[in-house]
Amino acid sequence: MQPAFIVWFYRTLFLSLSILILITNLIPFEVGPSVLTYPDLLYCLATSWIFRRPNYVPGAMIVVVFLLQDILMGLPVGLGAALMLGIIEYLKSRIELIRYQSFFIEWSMVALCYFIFILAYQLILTISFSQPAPTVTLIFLFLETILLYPIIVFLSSVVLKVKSPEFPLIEVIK
Amino acid sequence: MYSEDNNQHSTEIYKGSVKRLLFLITLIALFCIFLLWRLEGSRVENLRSSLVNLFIPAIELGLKPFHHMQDTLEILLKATQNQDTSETVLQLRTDLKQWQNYAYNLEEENAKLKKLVNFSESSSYQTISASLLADTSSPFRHSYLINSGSERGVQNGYPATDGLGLVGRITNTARKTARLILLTDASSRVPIKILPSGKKGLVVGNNTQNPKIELLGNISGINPGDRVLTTGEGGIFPPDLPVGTVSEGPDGTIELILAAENSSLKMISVIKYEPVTLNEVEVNILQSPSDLAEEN
Repeated sequence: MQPAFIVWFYRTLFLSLSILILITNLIPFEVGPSVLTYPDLLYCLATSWIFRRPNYVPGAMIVVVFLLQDILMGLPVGLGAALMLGIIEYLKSRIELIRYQSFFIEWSMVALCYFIFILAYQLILTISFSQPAPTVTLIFLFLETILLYPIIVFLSSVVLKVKSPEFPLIEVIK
Repeated sequence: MYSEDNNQHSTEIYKGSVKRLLFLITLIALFCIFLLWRLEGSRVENLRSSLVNLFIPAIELGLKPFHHMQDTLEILLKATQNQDTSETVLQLRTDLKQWQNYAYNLEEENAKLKKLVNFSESSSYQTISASLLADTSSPFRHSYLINSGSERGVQNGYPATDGLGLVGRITNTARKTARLILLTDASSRVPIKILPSGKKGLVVGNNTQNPKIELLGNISGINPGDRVLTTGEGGIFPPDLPVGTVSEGPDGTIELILAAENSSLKMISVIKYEPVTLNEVEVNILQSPSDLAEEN
């Protein structure tokens, strides 16, 4: 068991990093809409932490962060948050299958879930007579996000020390 | 020992089911918020604007270092370019002199023609200048946040330009900020005319960089590079604002190249243009001398 203050330290860290990501998305640096978009850093961060330390990222925090994203970015309010909550809770329930396997399995799981997220988002926008996004931009969004994932995993496990707990072999023997 | 284990097990199951219930309730609540947003858009949007207003200090604080970085980068870039520009500046100056003469001639001619058709100068619109606070564009929505709101007289529906061309329209005004929906956003529709042919149509945003132009009638007589101006029909945009130029799209369609420089936008001016009611517009169209002049 980890001491509670470490868990809370990482929870605050996750929240601050998410807000930092949201604010960097708002910088009018290369202003204006283009084919290239910002990759979905929030998704990468949330999923990479979920696989390693699910107790650092409680569901309530996912809701807060993604709802904030919906609100700040002028997106349909609640839709992104709802889909993300669903997907991340699903991934949480599959941790045991992925945790001590090769990274490739984790990566393809993340990619598959993001693909489903984009598909569902587009579908719901179309059904509810809102304007869906152009497919080309979404393909770029998907590729950028997926390619970024290993980098985020590397940074959060090496720099921030968010790693899976040791393989619980000893406990099993006991 | 055994029963204790069992006990723990059952509390764990209990905790799990409570969590699952909470998860389901949150999920349903979020979807309800989305439905509410879809059906009762304006109320949720107002709530959103006031929430964004709360975040403004944080956003401004967070963006400050980046703005500084951007400014210094630009200064550095300009400094490196300065050396070889003096010659081009001289050349540009002579070019501009020629254009100036040309403009004077046109002004004179314009005044004469206006007299001929008894044109009464329409009141020029007041503008409110604002700077770009944040780029809230995503693949799903093309919008900016600007740092002027109802405090400075910005209202929903006002159009905004960057001096070169139309940028978009104000949709949500809070006290200190407003959201600007761009022409490229998929919800944007602007009635336009194409000069010199005078054909009318709509600029339809599609969340890409170049909005589509949907024409009333056929495409003949329109060439790439033709100017696109607002018509003022529908009363949402003032007439004769430059929007951009025509370019050829894929498979026979035509697209718009924006006159506004969206990629280097810093300052915009919001035009105080109250949307005109339909009746007034009809009268305006009937009496507009510029329309008569075009037909002749």
